[in-house]
Amino acid sequence: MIAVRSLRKSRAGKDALRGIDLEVAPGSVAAVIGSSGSGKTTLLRCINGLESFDDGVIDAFGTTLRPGRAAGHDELARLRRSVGMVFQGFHLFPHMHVLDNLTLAPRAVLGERRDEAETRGRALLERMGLSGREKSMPHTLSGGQQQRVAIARAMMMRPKALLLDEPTSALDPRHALDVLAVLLELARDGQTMIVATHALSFARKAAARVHVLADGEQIECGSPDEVFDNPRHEATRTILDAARG
Amino acid sequence: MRAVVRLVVAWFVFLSLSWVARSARADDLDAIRARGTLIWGADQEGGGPYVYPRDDDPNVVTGFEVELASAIARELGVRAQFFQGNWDKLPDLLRTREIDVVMNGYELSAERAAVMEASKPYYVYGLQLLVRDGDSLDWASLAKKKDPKRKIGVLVGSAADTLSTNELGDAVEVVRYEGNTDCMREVETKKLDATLQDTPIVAFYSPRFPALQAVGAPMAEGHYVLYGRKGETRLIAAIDEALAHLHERGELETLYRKYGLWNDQQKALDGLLGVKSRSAPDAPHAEEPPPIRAAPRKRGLAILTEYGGVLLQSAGMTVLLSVLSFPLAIFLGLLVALGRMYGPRWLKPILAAYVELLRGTPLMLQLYFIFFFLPEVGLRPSAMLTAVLGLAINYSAYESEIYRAGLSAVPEGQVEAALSLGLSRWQALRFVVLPQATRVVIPPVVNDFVALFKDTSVCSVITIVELTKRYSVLSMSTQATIELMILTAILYLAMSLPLSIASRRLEARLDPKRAQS
Repeated sequence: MIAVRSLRKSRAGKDALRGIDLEVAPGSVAAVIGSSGSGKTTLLRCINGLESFDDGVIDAFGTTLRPGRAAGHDELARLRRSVGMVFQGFHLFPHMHVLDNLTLAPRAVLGERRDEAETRGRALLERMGLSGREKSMPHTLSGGQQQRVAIARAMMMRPKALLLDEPTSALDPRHALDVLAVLLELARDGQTMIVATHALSFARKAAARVHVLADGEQIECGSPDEVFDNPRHEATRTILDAARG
Repeated sequence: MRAVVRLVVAWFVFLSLSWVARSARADDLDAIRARGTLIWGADQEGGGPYVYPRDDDPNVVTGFEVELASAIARELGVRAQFFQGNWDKLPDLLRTREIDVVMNGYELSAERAAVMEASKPYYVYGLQLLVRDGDSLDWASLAKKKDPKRKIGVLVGSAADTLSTNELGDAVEVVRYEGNTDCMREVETKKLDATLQDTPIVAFYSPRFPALQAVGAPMAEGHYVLYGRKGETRLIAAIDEALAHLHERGELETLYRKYGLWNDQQKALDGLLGVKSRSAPDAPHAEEPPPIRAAPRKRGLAILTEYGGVLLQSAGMTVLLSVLSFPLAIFLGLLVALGRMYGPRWLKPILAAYVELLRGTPLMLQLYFIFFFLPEVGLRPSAMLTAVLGLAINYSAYESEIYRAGLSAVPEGQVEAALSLGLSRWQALRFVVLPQATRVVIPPVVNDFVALFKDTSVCSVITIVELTKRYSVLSMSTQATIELMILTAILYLAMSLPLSIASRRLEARLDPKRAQS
C-alpha cells in the first residue's frame, strides 16, 4: 500500500506540488496523467525518495517519509527495496551488458550469488521478449528494448510497487507498444504500479484509478471510465484531447 | 580492488621503511670519526678540474677536489664520501646536515663566512679574461663604451660576476650563465665577446677551446676554502691542520701539478696555511707527466657508445621516480576529488585550498620546501622519498581536477538509477559512477603521467641524479651537447611513447561502444 497525503513541494519559489493525495492498493495500477510540467515526475521522484518535499506524508509499505531534508539512509534503503523506479530516459548503466545491469543490485544490495541472480535475470529477460540479448551492451539496443531492460532491472529487486515515469514518452509508437504490452502483462499478474503516462488506452486497460494533475494540483481522480468518458474538469478535457492527438 | 589495496599498503610500507632506513647524520668531528666517513658536497655539473665524471666510467667522479677530499679525509682518519648537490644549493645541504662540508670552488667571502664556518684556503685562484684568438680586446678596452654594448659571460653569482658587474657594468653587458664552459663556447661562437673565468677552469679546458686566448695576467686573486656548519670550529680546525700537513709534505703541490694548476700564486699558501718549511713534491719536475686536462672533445657516434649506458642507467631513475609517485598521485587525487564532491561541507574549502596551493606554486619550490624545510622541524625524509612524495602531492592536485571533471561527466540519472535500485551512495559511486568516470579520465591522466615523467627532472634540485641532470653533467664535461641532447630526447621518447600507445589501447578497451555486442 502506497499512500500520499497532502503532498506539497515548492521549487525556486514556485509550487511544484500543491497538496496531492493518492492511494494505491496492493495489486492495482494507478495512472497519473497531466501535461508536462504538471508535477507527475516530481510526485514519483518524491515517492522514491529522490526528492524531498515541504509538507505532507508519504507512506509506502510501512516506511514513512516526512518533509525536510533527505530521509535517513536506512529508511531510504528500506523504501527503495519495496518501491522500484523506471525512468523516462531508461538510465541503463552503459558500461555493463544487459545481464550485469540486471544482476548488479541483487548482488550488491541483497547479496545474491551471481549464478542465482543470472538465472533470475535470464528468466525475466525471456518474459520481456529479450532472450538472446543478455550479453548485449545497452547502446546496441533499441529504445524499446532498453526500456524493457530497465523494467526488468527494477523487477529484479522484487519490488512491492513499481514507479514508472513516462516509460514510453521517449519511444516511437511501435516500440512504445512493446513496452506497454509488457506493462499490461505485469498489471495482469498483480504488480502494483504507479504510471505517469500519456498512453490513455493503456491507462484505461490497466489502471484502477486515474489521477489528473495540472500545475501541481490534482484536479480530478476516479476510475478510467469516470475520468475519460465524463471528465468533470475543463482542464482534464484539454489534456485528454492533447493525448488523443 | 583487493589487488589495488594490497598495492597501496605495500607502497606505504616501502615509504615508511625508506624513512627509517635513513640514519640521522651527526655533525661534529667525533661523529665523523665514529661514522668513518667525511661527507663532502659538490656539483659534478660544475665540471673539471674540480669534480667531473671520469671519461672511462662516467658513474664515478674525479678531479683535484675529489683527490683533495680523499687526502683530507685520510688525515682525519676517515674515508671521503662524495655527495652530489646543485652548486648553489650546497649551503642548504650543509644546513640540513646532508653533508659535513662544502668544497667546490667556493670562494672565501664575507657573506658566506657570516653564515658558515670557513677553513683556511686550499687554493689561490685568479680571474682570467678570455677572448677569441686574434681579437685585440683586453680589460681596459672592454671598459670603454661601445655601441652596441660588448658582451661578457660569467658564472652567475661567482667572483667573476661581481668583478665584471662592478668594473665593467656600465660599458658592457654582463651575461650570466649556469655553467662555466657554456660561456667559453659562446665566445667561440661569437655570441659573447669575452668571458672571465677562474684560473683552474682556463687551465683545464684550454685544449677544448683552442680558438680562445688568455689576455693579460689573472686578476682579483681569491681563495677557495671549505665551508662547514657555523660553529663547527673543531672540525674546521682539524681540516686546517690537515691542509697544513698536506702542504708541508708537498702533497698539495704534487696534486696541483698533476692537474696543471700549480703556479707562483700558490706560494702564498705557505703563509696562509702557516707552513714554515715545505718538502719538495715527490716527483722531480723534469720527469713530471703532462698535466691532466680536459679530454679532447668527442663527437658523433663515439658519444653514443661511450655514454649511452650511463644515460640509460639514469633513465632508470627517471622511471623509478615516475612509477613510484604517479600511482600515489592518482590515489590521493581520487580521494581529494571524492572529498570535494561528496565530502562533508567543512572539508570542501580545505581541499579546494589544497588544490589551488599546489597548482599555483612551482613544483621546484614544493620540493625545496619538503627537502630543506622539514629537517628544520626534525623530519628528515630522504631525497628519494622527498622526490616521490613531492611529485605525488603536486600531481594529486591535477589528478583530482581531472577526476572531478570525469565524475561530473557521468549523468546524474546514473546515480539516481543506482540509488532507486537500493544501492548505497558508496555502491553507486563504486559500481556505476567510477567505472564510467575512469574511461573519461584515461587520456588526460596518461597525459599527466607523461608530463610527470618529464617533471622528474626537477628532482635534481634535491640532489637526485636522473636523466636530465645526467645529461647536464655529461654535456658540461664533454661539450658534446647536441649528441647528448638527441640521445636524451630519444630516451625520453622511448619511455613516453609506449605509454601513449598503451593508453590508447586501454581507452579503446574500456569504450562500451567498441566492446562486443
